[in-house]
Amino acid sequence: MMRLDINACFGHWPYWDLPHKTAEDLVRLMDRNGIEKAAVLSLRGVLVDWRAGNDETLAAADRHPGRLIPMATLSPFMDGNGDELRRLADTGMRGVRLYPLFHSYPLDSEFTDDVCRAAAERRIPVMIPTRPMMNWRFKTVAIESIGALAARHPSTTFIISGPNYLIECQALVKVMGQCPNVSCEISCLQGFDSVTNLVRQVGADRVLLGTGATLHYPACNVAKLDHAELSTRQREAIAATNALRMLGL
Amino acid sequence: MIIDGHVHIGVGNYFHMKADVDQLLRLADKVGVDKLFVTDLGSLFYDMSEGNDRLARDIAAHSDRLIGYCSVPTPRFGKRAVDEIRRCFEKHGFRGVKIYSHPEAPITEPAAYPLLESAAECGMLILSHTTPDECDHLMQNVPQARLVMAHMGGHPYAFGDWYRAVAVAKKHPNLLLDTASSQIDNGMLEWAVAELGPEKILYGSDMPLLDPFTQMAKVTGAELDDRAKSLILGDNLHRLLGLP
Repeated sequence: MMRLDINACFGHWPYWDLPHKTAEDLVRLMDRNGIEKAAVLSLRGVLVDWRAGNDETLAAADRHPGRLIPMATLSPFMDGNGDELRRLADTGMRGVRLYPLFHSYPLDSEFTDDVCRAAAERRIPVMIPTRPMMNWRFKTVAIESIGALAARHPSTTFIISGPNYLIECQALVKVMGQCPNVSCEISCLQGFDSVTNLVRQVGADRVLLGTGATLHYPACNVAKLDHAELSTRQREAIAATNALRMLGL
Repeated sequence: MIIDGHVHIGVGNYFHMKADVDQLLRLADKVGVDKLFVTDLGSLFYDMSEGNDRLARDIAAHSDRLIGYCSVPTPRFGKRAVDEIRRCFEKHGFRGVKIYSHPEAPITEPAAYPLLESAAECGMLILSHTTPDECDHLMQNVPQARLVMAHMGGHPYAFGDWYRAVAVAKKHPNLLLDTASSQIDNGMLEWAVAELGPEKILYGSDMPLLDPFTQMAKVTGAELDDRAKSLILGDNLHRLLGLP
């Protein structure tokens, strides 16, 4: 079964000294965990300089063609906007991740509307992590606010990343029920039988494998999907087919 | 032998948890776990004696698979809590104590000390849902207690701070860490082993709140040698509990 990790990254992390930092480290982790492809970005783009981060992301994808799929990020700071996303898509970016809490802007803004319109034009997904990883220190983006954005942009494909269990998972299901253009990935979904329960409620065609590597242990999410009670078709859809479709690969 | 040191049984509204002994044992078989160290949700969040007695009946029926925690909602129950620990040790043969700490009812106060002292006298491990700083306080006041910091900082009150958890565990020889948590931060176990050695880390899944396969993969997928993984996954608890 092919695995495509929709939520991977590389680079430095200011909260602790990551054991795996480079794109090459990430590829080694992918090899060890049976992951063929990963949608990635450089953490530089999240943490300090989105323009330089995007350059690093594209360079890493060039070094590992067929393995690393470049994902952009941008913010209204330093003139990020829809035109910039169009340019990034034309240079090879296959999606965009938005980090409103790290880049200090509201989701309900002209910037996000502009970016979402550009993503729809270029047919690339907009991924919004509610948290950068499943660590309790981070504040979270309200899932309902992503739902409101998705409702304003029905032609844009959204991928929600970051929900965990209980109330967060219920909010995710509600938003996915209201917005057929919203999908999600599983990297932070740690509740018991979480993938099985999610698929029962929203189907398998809008759920994607994400590991959160290199911030997370990738083995955890591989195991989570491998052991979920799903049909072969559902597991394959989540492992790669859905992501391949959304990324236009 | 693989031992899951952090398992819940019973029903819990808040956590949407519901599991009886048969469900837990079927799950343990799927994950490949030999023994479960279990705490009853009813005793932890409602009626401690009722829940502990219910767990004792399950253990009697599955003594080869289950080990019992005497669960106590808060040390603020005072002598009642201390008596419950002794009762569960003497009558039921429970080997551990499970206690909770909330910001609304913190454990860092003198009422907790007799509870820890009694557990230590009975040779029981204390699994505490606490922050690293709370554990630091408890170990300074009852250093003979064998305290296990549940989640090694990986819960909301502790802000996910496993670095702090490891630093505090390094200060206290009898303070151990359990791996159960939503957090699967890359490098956290390698760091803990490098700082503490594998002897102070215990595998726990927190099932059926958390997915046990994910929790198991956190240990098996970590970049640790086989000896370290064996110790974490069961050999440490086997030794600490003096199991045959």
